[in-house]
Amino acid sequence: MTHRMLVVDDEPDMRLLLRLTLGGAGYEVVEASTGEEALTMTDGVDVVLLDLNLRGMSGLDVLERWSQDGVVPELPVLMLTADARPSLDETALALGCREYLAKPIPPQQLIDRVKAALRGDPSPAATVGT
Amino acid sequence: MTAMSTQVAGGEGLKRSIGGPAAILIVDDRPENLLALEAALAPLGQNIIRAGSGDEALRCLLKNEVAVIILDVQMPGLDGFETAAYIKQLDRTRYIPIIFLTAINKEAEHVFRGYSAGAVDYLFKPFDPTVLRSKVGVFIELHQKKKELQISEERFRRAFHDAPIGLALVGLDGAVMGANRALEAMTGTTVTASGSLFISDFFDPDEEPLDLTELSTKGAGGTSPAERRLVSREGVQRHALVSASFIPAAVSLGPHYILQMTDITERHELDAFRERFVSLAAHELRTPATVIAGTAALLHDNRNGMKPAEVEQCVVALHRQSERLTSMVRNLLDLARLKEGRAKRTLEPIELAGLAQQVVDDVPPPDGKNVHITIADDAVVLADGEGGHPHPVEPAAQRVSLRRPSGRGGSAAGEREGRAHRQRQRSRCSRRPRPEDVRALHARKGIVFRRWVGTRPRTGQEPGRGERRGDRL
Repeated sequence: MTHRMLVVDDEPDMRLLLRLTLGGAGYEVVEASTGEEALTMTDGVDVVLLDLNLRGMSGLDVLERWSQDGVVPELPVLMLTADARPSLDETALALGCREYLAKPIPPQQLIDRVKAALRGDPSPAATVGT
Repeated sequence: MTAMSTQVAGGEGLKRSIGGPAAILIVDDRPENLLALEAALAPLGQNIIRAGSGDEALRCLLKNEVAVIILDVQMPGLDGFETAAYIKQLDRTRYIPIIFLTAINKEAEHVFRGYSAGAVDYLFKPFDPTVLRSKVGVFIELHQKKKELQISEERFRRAFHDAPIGLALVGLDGAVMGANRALEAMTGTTVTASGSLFISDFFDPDEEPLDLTELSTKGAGGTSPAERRLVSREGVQRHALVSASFIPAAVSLGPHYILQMTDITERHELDAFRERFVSLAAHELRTPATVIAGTAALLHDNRNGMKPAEVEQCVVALHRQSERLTSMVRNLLDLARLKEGRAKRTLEPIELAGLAQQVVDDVPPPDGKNVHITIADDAVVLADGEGGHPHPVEPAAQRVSLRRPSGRGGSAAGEREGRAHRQRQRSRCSRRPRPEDVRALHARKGIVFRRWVGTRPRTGQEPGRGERRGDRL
């Protein structure tokens, strides 16, 4: 079974990288460039990679909306960001984010985290990435 | 007889006082006695003022600063004792030493009366010139010491009052007995000598209270000031380095401390700015670095399994992000050079409206958002027009020096509205614009220095026109 992944990032090159990396690993990747767009695309999605620093509606805003609507934690959301402030990490986890991944993250590690999320492994406490 | 002043130079002159020679007032109704006194005192090298009566002596005292008075007891009109009584009644003259001189009132009761009238000495005629000179000389020296002390106190008072750092006189119980202008400005408090204000009132109560004893002990072996937050009554917070010196005792004050406070608010803000900048720079660098590292790894590992179009897309992305990264690094280096004074920046007047337009062009607002900037048509900034880097470093790194147009002030006259509505159209701009982007005049032409002059923040919301943020010049 092919898992469907939603990649939400306003950086086109980042979306390209994620699409090719995760597509190459056998996932069906759908893309959203804004938070507003992402809110409408969760149907049939198995896992979400959500960028924190989105224009307009931020990644946290999206997460908060999904949390209110009961989308998470049913739908595993991995937060991806270049901003490694611990306070954001805590906020995201409190809003139901499964894991907080700091950029840059090696492709294989990213794939491993996605697999773990899809398997329903216990949510890791530590932030992954370098 | 008219009082007159005689300047006698040379002789056994005493060291001249700071404020010029001291005056000796000699009072006698007989001219020949005045002559004899003047001759005896001339070697002291001081001003000698002669008065022929008690009344005249009092008038002289009103006009002159006198170090010592030699007063004949037996005079028509006001005699010496009566004259002395008047002298002792006036604040200005009561501490001037008086030496009585008499030819006839030599009985003990007269001598006693003389001392009661405030005399410091009671001499009989004929006097020995050397003895008289010696006695007068002592009072002249005392007068000079007093003057030096006064000047020293005045010097301290002025240095205290005008010092650029905050200074306060603080009692051992922490009561503030005085403060200079700088401290009053820092704390936003007017200090009176009432002692109702305590030093702890200046500081943030959430911080550890100052231990003046410890602070002054540290200061004795080289300064080791404490850092504290100052909170004014209006709630304005500033940061200060505080040190203290213990003063064992003073003429009018008991043991106390002199507190020194240096305002380091700007330094604090600069440190905070640096931290924010480093954080932002790291954040901005991570995005292209992530794409470059990830895409390179992807090409290395999976190139054969990728379609040619995907490989091409990866190469384009690599090129784009590496250029972006290079530009950021170049701007960072520019900033470092600028800080070290190695970068040559030529600041020249640039029309603010044009620069702002360029900023908006470079950093278009997100979808559906407008940027509305109102700029006086003659507003000019001093900026470096060279550089030509396609991407700025970070908004926080940008500074622009704003100059009020000469002769026009910041009046609204001639103000024109330049509205820039920009939909995000160009893909090359990939950063999310923030309000500070515009405020910082995030110019494509490179790093520009900003200093808002007399600005007032202005924000507002207008239906259909988005949020308004700005500064009014």
